[in-house]
Amino acid sequence: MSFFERVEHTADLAILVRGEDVPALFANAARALFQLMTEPPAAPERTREITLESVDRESLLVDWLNELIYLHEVEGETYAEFRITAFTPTALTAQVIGGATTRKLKTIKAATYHDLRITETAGGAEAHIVFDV
Amino acid sequence: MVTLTDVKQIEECVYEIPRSYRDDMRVPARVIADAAILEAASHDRGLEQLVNTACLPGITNFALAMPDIHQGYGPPIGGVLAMDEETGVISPGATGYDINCGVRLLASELSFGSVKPRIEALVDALFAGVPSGVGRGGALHFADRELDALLERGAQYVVELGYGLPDDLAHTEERGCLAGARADAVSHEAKKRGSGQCGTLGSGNHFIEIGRVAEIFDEATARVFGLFQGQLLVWIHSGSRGLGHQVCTDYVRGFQQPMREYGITVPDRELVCAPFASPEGQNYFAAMACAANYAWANRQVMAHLARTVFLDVLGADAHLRQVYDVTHNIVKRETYAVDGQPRTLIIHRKGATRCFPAGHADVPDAYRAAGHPVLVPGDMGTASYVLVGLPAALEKTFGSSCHGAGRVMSRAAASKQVQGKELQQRLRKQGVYVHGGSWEGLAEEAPEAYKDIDRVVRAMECAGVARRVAKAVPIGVIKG
Repeated sequence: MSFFERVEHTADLAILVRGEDVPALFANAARALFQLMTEPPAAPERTREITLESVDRESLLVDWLNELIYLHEVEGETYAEFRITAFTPTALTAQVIGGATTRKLKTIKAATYHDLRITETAGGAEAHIVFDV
Repeated sequence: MVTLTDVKQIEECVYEIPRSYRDDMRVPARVIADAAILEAASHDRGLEQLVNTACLPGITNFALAMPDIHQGYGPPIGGVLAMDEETGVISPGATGYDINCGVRLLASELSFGSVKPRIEALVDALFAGVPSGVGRGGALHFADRELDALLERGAQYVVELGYGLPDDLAHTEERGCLAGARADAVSHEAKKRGSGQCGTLGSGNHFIEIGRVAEIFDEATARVFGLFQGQLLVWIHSGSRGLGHQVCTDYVRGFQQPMREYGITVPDRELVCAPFASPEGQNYFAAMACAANYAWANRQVMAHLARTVFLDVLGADAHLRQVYDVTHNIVKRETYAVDGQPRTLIIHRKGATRCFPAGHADVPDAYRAAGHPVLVPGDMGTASYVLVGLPAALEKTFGSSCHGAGRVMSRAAASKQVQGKELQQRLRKQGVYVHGGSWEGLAEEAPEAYKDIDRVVRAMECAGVARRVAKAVPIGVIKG
């Protein structure tokens, strides 16, 4: 089973993403985001550190993905590796490793709160996320 | 999910989901539709999303959806929400990420027949001359202070720089500048995203289309709008690019905690909101106005670039006059009669167009005797419409009309069913030359992914809200 799949949505882009635990779910949600937006970077040589605080776990996921969308757009970078180095339900620190974007596939405007669900499952955790495209 | 048994017809082409449908509804939810459109709308979650908006504090009379309704995030696409200025809320999620996504219509004095052999060259030159595509930057870069001026003055600022004509402003909603914009309400991150994208089309459902007027329904109004049978037109559909996306992201995030403090609960967190009169609400309104102004400047620059291409390819007779420019995603302060008394309302339009009757003070001078033009672009294989607002719009739809055909098929399903290259060939046989940035992007926007636009605009007419003036068919399209 792939770590994410697309879910039917009339106008935008919805995914179901999985991870062995919630931090892994966050990393996989980021991997899914970049698989949808771009081709992998030619040379993943740039490391950026991201620190975020949010009001709750769902907000933290939305803020994490939107921070990556922002960096991708303004820095012209694509990230291929996501290391969550510290995680609580309202804060995270992560290292993201990537390089210059080689080919863009799709513009994703933002991750939204609509229908956002993070659930613990027998296999770990999964989240339903809707992106505005 | 809302089913058809939950919906009652209250008059011709107006349907209602009563307050009794769900305990948290403050007002009924209404849809402008015919029976077939309503049936199609019941297949996705658009109607449930409309019910969610009927629960927001201060919502007045009814939550509304236009006949191009379909599932979005937060409100449905085609949604119109009127909030009381004193007791109501403003919601960034209900306005959407592409603030002032809208459409501009330019008209030549040329007929299609006279330029038919040069259409493909024209489309290719437009593709080269107007930056488009995923993440592609533009020709204009603004330093911090220049960008602040652009955010506060919109299209007026770029016209002064030489991008377009003062007359364009007289033919733009709000004259291309929404009052109340304050650049200090826009984050550094949003400005960084916006600094190099002014004058770019973007991707997704954004496009520039060359069309020809195929049918005139209302000769007198068409004359006022300067439209004639066979005329060559240009439609520009784009918005506020990364700057607008970031403004929405910032305020959806920033409203999460204050909303709790104001004691507001919403059925969908994307409908996060704050009282309009609160400091948070006022800051969002000021930032949203900046993003709206950025979008008007963006379409203004693209119109200038398109004009340059037309003159280069077709010669000196190919001047493009601006018919009008309307916004589809915005929040406005507008006054309506509520219970017989004039009241200022905070109108959220999410995939809907302003639609005022003849004589309304906010209709531009040149069109006041005829009414407000409603520009309704369709898909790239079918048709687009120009409508005009009617008096019933003020009582039935808070001065709003549909904004397009509306999707019926997901992007994923369209990509599976349609090959971009085959679509391009099929459209070429139909007489539509498409120059796209990516095959997948083209497939996602295939005509079969959209509703029947003829039916959508007839529903507006049937409800007495707007009247058809002219129909245009596409002959050339550029997609990002």
